Amino acid sequence: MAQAVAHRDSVSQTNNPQMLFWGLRSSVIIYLSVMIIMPLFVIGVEGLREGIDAFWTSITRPVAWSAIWLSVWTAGVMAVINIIMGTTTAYVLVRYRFWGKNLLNSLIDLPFAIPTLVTGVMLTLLYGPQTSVGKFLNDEFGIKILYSNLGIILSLLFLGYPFVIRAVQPVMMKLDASQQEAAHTLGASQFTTFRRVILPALLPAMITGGLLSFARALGEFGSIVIVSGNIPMKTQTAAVYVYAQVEGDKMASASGVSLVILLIALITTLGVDFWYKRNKRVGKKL
Amino acid sequence: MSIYLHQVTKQYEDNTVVDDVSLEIEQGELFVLLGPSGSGKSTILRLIAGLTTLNAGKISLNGRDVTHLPPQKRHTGFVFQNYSLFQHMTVAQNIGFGLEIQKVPPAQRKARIEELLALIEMSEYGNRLPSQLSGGQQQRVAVARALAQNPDVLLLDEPFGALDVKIRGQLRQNLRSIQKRLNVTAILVTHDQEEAFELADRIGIIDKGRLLEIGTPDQLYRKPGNHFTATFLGNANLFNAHRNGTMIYIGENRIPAPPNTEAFAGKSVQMMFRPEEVVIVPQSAQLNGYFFGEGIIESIAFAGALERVAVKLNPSGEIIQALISPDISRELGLRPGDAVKIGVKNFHLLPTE
Repeated sequence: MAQAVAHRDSVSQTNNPQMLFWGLRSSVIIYLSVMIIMPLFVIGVEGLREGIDAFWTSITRPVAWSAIWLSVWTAGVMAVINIIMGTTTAYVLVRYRFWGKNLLNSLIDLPFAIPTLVTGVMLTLLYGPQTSVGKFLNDEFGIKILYSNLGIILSLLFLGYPFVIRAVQPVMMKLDASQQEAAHTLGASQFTTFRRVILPALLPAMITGGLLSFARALGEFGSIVIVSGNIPMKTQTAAVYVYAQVEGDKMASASGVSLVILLIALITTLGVDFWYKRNKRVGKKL
Repeated sequence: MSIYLHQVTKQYEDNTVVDDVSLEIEQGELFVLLGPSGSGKSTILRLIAGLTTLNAGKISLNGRDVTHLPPQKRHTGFVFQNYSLFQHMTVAQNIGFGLEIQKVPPAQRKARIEELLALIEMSEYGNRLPSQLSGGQQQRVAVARALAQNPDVLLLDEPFGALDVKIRGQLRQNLRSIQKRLNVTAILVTHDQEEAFELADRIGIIDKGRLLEIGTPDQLYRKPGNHFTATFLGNANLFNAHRNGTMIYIGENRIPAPPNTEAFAGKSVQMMFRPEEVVIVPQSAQLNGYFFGEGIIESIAFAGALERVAVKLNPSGEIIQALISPDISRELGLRPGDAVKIGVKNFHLLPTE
């Protein structure tokens, strides 16, 4: 009897697209709940368990607040540089043909694959105080890269590089040369054409890529923990701070700062979504 | 003279895309460059607009030598096949773009935009985005944008290529009336001979980068100067012949030579006649025009207002294409397999290949 029912069910599911859709949707929602929503919920509860006041105290401690701020501004600086350099790189990749282009194109995705700890080790090997490059920069210009905010930004730049390129590249490929030519015949100079025709078409993709890399950089731990030296109030980012709190068994302050990072990431993601939709609308008939 | 091209040549590496083209176009003329795809006709347009640089030759617009000027300084209006409207700008902003670049004061700009919107009958659409318009509407906006600064010449690169047949017809009429009303000189590039016939004051035939000949649609159709034009513009019956004295000799047959063909005296020629010039009758007595030969009807096919008849010529077996009215065919009782006499009302001579 049970077998018969099960059999009939499976038949009706495969024959009925409505049922199939319902089944797929339910599994996705359950998966999403277990994998994403529940952890988010728990951290929300944990961060606020001892009340708003306790949460507020945990994040306004000077050490905590400076860690959050450091994460935000270094990620921000990285995103801005990344938008400029990533767009330029995408332009070079789309518009020019040169020897080694395919190799370069595949190299760009490497930061996605390299473990971030390895990134930290690489930067240390390159810029460490004992290495020739690091020593040279320190002796000649007084620039210290390791154990400074500069090191943090450098490692973020390394891992954020692909984001803008990969967002901008497809839009740029679709961008018809004849739109630029139309602008030229209408009297617009190269620069005006870039500013009035090309840039507005690319901007949504540039911002999307920038926001994605920002969100990714906000929580970066592996490379920073090696490069930054982890000096509270100076080079300790939020993620590293949270790790130190967990190590010291201070879960309340760990979850408080985590919650703040989470909120910023959430807002960033909503921003990505907004710009992605704009991008699609403008890009539809390019 | 509005547009003047002198021995213009464009090469890509070893490949000559535009080969020694010279051309003169009058003010207010609509000139059509007609040729198969890859013939170099679009490149000629791009050379005039300055979007491509030439290897040799000279181009002047309204008496101004523009050969080495960038596209920004040539005063041409270019309409692309894929419209190429700026997607993030409204219709009005698209049309006003060039005026804004030229720093035309806002009030004046606004008036000009409205004037052009009225011209393309899209006054209600100024605030729409291009993605909200149909293909035909986008094409009209592209024309308005190209006309906004009163260009010396309007250049249209296969402007109706991406549109369906019905809209194409409407837009052609539209374009024609706008062009005549503004009396703007225009060059249109197409591979569609029907389009060329409908729009052109004169047509230039392009093949393999060479400008083969120029003429009115009627001239090129009835009296083409070469084999390519004859076959590219509709169907043509072509036969090798020889002109001697005052006669044309085709096989056993001879026909009086047409006037003004003395240049071919004593030479091999090709005799050309269009299918509608062919007469098919059962008896010699019914024949009008010149007697061409005898044959057997191969097939009779419906072709709209006329019937398309294929006749196999005796004894050579060559096929003659004819277009005759169904009335006449019924009256004469023509059937496939019938033995018939073939006559030709008008014909034309071409140099041999």
